[in-house]
Amino acid sequence: MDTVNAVFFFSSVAMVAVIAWMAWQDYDRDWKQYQRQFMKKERQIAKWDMEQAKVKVDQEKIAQLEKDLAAEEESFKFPNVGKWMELHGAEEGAANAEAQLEKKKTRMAEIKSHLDAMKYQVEEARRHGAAQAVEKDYVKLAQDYLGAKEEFMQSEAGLKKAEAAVAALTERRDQLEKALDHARLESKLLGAKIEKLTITPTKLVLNAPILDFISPTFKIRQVVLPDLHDDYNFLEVGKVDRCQTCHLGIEKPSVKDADGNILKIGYDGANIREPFRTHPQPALYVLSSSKHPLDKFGCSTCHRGVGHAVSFLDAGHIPQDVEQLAAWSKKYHYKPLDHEHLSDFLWDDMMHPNDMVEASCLKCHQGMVEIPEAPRLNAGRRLFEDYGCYGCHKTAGFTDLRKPGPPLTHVEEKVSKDWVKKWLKNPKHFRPTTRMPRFFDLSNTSTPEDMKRSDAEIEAIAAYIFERARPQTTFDAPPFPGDAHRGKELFERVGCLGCHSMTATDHTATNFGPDLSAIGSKIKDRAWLYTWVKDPKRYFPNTKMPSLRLTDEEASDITAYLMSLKNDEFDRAPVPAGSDDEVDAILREAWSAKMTQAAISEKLQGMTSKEKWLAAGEKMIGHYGCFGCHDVGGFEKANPIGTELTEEGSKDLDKLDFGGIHGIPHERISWFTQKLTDPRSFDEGKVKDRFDKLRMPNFDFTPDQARLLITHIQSLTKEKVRLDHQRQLSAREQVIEKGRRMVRDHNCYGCHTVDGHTGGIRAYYQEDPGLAPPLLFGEGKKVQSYWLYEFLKSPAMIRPWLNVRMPTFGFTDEEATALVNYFQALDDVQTVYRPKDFHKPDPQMAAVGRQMFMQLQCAKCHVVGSTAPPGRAAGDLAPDLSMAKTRLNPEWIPEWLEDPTKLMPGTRMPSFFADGTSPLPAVLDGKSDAQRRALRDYLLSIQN
Amino acid sequence: MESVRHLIDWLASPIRFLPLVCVIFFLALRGYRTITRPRVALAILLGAIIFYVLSLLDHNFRHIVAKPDNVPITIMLFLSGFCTYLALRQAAINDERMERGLAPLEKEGSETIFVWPDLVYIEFLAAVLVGILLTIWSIELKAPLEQPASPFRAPNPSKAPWYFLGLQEMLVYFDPWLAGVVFPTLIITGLMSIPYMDMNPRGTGYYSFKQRRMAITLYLFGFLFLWVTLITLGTFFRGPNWNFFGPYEYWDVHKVQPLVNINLSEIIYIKILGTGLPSNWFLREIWGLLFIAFYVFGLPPLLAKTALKNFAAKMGFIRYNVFMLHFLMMMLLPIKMICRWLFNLKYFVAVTEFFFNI
Repeated sequence: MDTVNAVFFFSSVAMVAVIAWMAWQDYDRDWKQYQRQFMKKERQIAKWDMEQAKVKVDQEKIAQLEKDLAAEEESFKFPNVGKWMELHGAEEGAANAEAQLEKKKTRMAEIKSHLDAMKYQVEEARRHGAAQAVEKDYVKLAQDYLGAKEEFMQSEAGLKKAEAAVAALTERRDQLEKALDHARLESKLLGAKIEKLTITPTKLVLNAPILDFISPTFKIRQVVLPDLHDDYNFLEVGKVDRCQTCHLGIEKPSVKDADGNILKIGYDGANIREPFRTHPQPALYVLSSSKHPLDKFGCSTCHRGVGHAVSFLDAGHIPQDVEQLAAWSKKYHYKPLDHEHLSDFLWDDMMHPNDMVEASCLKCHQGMVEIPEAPRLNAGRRLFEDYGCYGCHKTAGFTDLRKPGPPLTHVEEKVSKDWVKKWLKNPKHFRPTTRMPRFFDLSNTSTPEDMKRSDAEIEAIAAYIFERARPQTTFDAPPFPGDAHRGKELFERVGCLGCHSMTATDHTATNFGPDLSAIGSKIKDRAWLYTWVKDPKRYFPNTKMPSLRLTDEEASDITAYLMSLKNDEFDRAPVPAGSDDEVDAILREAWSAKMTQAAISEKLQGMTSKEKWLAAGEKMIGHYGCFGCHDVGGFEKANPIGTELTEEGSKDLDKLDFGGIHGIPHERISWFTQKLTDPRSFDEGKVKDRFDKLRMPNFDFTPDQARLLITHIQSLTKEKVRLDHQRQLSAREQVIEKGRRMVRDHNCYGCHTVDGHTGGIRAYYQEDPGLAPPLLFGEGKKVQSYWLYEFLKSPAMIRPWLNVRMPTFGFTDEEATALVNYFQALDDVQTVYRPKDFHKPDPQMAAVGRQMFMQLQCAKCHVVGSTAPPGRAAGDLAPDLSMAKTRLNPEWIPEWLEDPTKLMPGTRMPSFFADGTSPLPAVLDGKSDAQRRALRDYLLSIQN
Repeated sequence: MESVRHLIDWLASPIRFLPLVCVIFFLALRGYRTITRPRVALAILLGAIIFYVLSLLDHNFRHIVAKPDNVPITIMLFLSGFCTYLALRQAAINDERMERGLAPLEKEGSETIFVWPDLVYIEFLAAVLVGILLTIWSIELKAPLEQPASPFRAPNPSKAPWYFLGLQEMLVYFDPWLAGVVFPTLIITGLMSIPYMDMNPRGTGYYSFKQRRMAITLYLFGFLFLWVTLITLGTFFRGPNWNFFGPYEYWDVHKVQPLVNINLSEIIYIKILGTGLPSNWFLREIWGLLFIAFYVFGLPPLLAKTALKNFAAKMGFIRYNVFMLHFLMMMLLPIKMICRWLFNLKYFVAVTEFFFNI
């Protein structure tokens, strides 16, 4: 028995210990530590504020007030018996009046309650007939009530009077007390705050293990967002984000005055470490004054992760880079998913890394060419579009776009078959900056046998394309032999550089059109090139290349120049070629699924060599999906071959095949990075037939490009935000977006500075910006809509001294109108129709204007009709003012004259009327606005 | 070391593992007196522990065994071993005593002990100790919470709760209507009918193996071999895609096993007779139907007249037939297993036209 007793004793002790352990386990949470640390920081800041407040407070004033108050208090005491008696009496009166009031109030309330009950009885009695007796009682009670109410109201008045009597005596004392409180207010509030932030025994008890269910001061902080949802497959629940439980300083940036002096310390200093740092963009997010306040959008809406989790790992934090990964492994035992999927967190709900958070913007900001404040997402979307990913991967939002590559239906007119073969072998060999990816000799096809097979496939593809190509048009031979030297000058002057680069390897150069530094090695026929530069749409009706209205001679010169540019190394490279055995092998493999070897042999014997190559070519084009980017004869109705990417950002992790790659974390971003930088690598170590191998080509994306593209892919989710919670575009914004799409598609940014983009070609005009294409600030306000429409349809010369030309894009009426509407919407100008001569210049004002025009020497820079200012360099000339009548908006001119730099930063037009002053005090009483109107009327009456 | 691992992995394949366990089971019952000697039993326990501890050094073994879901199975394995040992040990002692003409142990010690304090105190103590154990368990092994469930993504492998893994293993051999409905029902009715089947008056109130050889053997075969062993197999050896994995093998989702099972009708018509399958299902499945009909309805009367003549006479008609029904159904599982391993048999009867597959 003693043994059992002993066992019982030790078991009981163990039980108690285990229960204590359990309580501690439940109690010991990281977030409590963080809240404790944060409280300490807050206390420090409050103390600092207290010091500041003390400095600011006028101590002398407080001392004086205290002294006055003490004196006033004294005046009611001995020996001022009279005053004391008076106050005492008044106070007693007030107390009595209050007691009286309470009494009357109680009586009134009691009668009222009986009266209400009686009322119900009367109503009930009436319904059943005989009600006289009850009604009599009711009337009597109602009389009583009126009496009681009267007495109550009298008492109320009595109390007010008594209180007024007291107040009259203590008026000065009350005022002094109030003033003193006011003077001490800030330090009093701060004192209360510091007290709140100090750990006291009471707080220790409230936060103690087990007891902390009552009213702890450390508690989970959350924001509940019933309108946004977390999708748990079987149900959608309102979002609850508890991130602030640890990220306690997220809403507390420093408050600064206009000079940058800190008024209130916040949590954005360099010394503040996570999790306490303020949001890096408080103006845009989190703060209640921002566009995305915390209490409306939460945190996980953008950052993803598990918003309701309160531990580091559960919340789905994701490291930004390898260093952070190493640090986290140490600190939090963070372990990314590996080949065996052994990890402790929910891998579907990981956050976006910091540089990819913008992926979340898209779900609310739809229908926009560029999402504001999301440069990385925009860049990713742009890359996706530029590299034509949508050609193979169907993606919602990218379905109406033109095929990214040129048509191959009449390619034989442009290049030779040998060039095509060499190009297919390795496009970057010819043009390092090309967006055409490489299909052959990649990581899963790099053995000598594979490379031989690749050459045969290239041969087959080229054979098919050239066989199916049909002549499209005729080409004019250049009428002049052309001078390459002149052609080069012309090329660099007329604006070709707005889209094309000539640097071969510079990836930062403008790359809207292909790099042309070796174009002579590509084009087989100068007649083709001549015709192309004169009228690109003749060969390729959908081309984005506009016409620069080159004369025959100019076109001949440019042709001569471009044909002289060669890539010798590429020219010398061997042409890939395949043998008949190899084409047989291709066809055997392709047909083996459905035919016996004997039948294949028989079929092959009946075919000529050419037929075999064509059959193989068709097979290979279908296999590699060339038709996704290029028009290829015979593949007009083929479906793109890639995986649809519309919801790729939500794709289950277990649907991403890591194949034989074990060395990288097995999560989504690593997979996409690997896929984008080495698309075929997941074949590593696999046993596959050639046709089963991965076939995504290699675009040679840099690591940063890959991350941009992943940001875009991550934005393609199946998450749906309710329509009324998405950003809705106004009618005006929709017009702008339509125009932006066109502006981007036609690369207006290549030359013009417009809508936040700097004209790319300006880089070539740093020495003399006056010769660069014009800046388009406020164009919608500046020019008349019909003039702009006509100009876009058929550009007329405004600045004849410029060499660079506004191209003819061949806009349809609809496109030109959309662009006009775009410029007007950008400047918030209402589109209205007006009579042609809606502004009739006042002849008298025009005369005054003419006089001013002379005095201000406007013609010193401005061309007027055929008169150019003498002795000015071309780059210093200003637009022809004789066009003002048809071109400029009459409302715009006076506004422009007042402060040109305000409307167009960077303009060289001087400001004559800055700040409403006038340089000519004698004219029109020196009134600036009248003078500007006079100038306007003069300009609009110049006839051209 | 590597070759030992490979050997164990190789042995653990159901085709070897189950017969091996079966042989060990019968050998153990045969030599129950030897193996329940304290020293032998201790050696077996130590051997098992050493095997377990050494195996834990292996990454893959540790991964599977240490899964919070699988910890109870390990405990169950040791507990069922211990309980079986305890009973057989008592039986061995009694059998030996009775051979010497002594009364069983249970009849010897007949001094009175009290409910309080002797029983209740110890029960309470047990409750405290189990409470401690469960609390520590719940602190140290967190509930294995996974991703939110999704109708589009079944976990792989999708496993039943551990106590149903024996049933799930049966699904490898039989269709759900049998493995999920008929057999579980028969397990319950079989357990219910045991008291009515047991006509052996000896061995009540004390442990004895010798006097209840058939009853104990049959029950332990059903429980230890067909229930506990299959749970063990299902827990530790069945991985992604319900493929078999040895205890030291990595559970690779991509592992591919050849699927070559064929039906009895195909064996007979295509392999043996060399004709095609008849188009009429009844004709096609006639052999399987005949076999099953014979197994269920023909075998009991036949055995009653031959091998089990005395047994049948002793049991009486109804009792004999109820017993045979349950016994034959229980044995259908090992029979099907053997047929699967030897002939790649998929179904005896495969009437896919209306999902009647046996």
